[in-house]
Amino acid sequence: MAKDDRKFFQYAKNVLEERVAAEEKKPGARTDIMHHLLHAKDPTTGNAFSREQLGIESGLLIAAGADTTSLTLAAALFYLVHNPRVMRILVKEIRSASPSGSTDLLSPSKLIGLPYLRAVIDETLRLSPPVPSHLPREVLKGGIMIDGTFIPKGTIVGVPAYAIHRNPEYFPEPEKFYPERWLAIDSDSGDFDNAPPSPTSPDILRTRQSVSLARQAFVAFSQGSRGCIGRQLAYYELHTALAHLLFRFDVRLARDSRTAKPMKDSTGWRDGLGDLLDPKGAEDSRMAWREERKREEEFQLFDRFLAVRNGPMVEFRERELIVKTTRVPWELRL
Amino acid sequence: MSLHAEIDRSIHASRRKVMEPAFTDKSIRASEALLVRNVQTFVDLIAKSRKSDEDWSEAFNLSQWSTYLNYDIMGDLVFGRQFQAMTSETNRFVPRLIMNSTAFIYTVCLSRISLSAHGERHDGG
Repeated sequence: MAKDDRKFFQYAKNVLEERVAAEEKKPGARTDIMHHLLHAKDPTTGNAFSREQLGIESGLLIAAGADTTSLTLAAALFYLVHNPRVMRILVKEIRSASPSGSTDLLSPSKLIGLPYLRAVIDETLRLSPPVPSHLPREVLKGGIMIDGTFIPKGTIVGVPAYAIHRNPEYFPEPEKFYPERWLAIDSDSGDFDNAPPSPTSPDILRTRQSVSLARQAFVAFSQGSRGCIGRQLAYYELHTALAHLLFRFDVRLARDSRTAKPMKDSTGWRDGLGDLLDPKGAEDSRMAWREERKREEEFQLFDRFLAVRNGPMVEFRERELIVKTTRVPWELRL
Repeated sequence: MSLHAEIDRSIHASRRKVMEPAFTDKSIRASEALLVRNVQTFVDLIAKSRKSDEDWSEAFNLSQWSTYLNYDIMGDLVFGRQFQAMTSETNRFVPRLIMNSTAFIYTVCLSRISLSAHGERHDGG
């Protein structure tokens, strides 16, 4: 694994060098994130990034930028195929955004405003946070009082997102995938207004206070000065990917080829994550998975700071659209 | 040391400030088309995988495929480069490197933490 660490940062460095060469040849030809980083300066100190720093940050951007969002997209579809009621409401919201069937109306800046889609994403991040464990902090000289307990200097403290996201004080019926908990009933609009506060879950309130409390305990992106810098970008990616998938396709759990029944344990390892893991790691994980795969309603994660996961196995059926998808107008700006 | 690992508060704040303009709403919107282009590739690829005698597509393992998609988006948005993880197998080794790399660093960090906790017990007793 140490070898893979070096290989990975060497790869990031190579990618960066090519990008820098392109910027020098034709400055500003692309206004991507690296363009901003190459030209950015701290407004007060005037400091810019050194090349060496940029190389290291490139590695960080690859890891933090791709793996977290990809886990969340897979997890969201897992929860959707296991919760048909939620899937129905979400599909309706997305398809109503472009009633003619044209994808022209599905620009990211429009999709980012879909409230039920956001609630589905937040509920996914609550149950399966891409960085599930705690971000360790060391208590400094003099110790600290936390919640009435004295913690001495040098102690490592932290709150795992996975744990606080399941605290019933903030999230009643915490194991239940219920996006409405993020939508106060007195500020919504749309069909999900009428979604029951629910006969099956009368404890899940949907008041402004309950939503605000949930927001405060939501740490999938961490919070404060160390909060995720790419949070908004992550939402743009997730809104766009989920909306385009559900706009064009119906989605269901894959069928077993012999019995034609839905494959219940859709996150089984048989069809494998083999190429995302070294063979030894894959074998270990397969063993662990068989033992640990108990909560079949949960998109389960293996904590490796980022998280190892698998599935769901799904199939897609293309809708018949009234207007056939052609070129999207914003593509012409490329 | 990356911004993520910087523990000095003022250095962290200053470096984060340098990075922030790249992640504003305005910067992200400037990359909208890149985002859609990659999602469109994924959607088209799924549409093509329809089984000949059925309405439904082949089965997709979404943990794999959303990794390829988001890796391509990241390449396009951060480095202005098309990694083509979705359409070709050549670059698919990188997601594996990432997981092994973070798992490695994580293991090292955890062992350092347990060492320091151990040291604290010695100090105290």
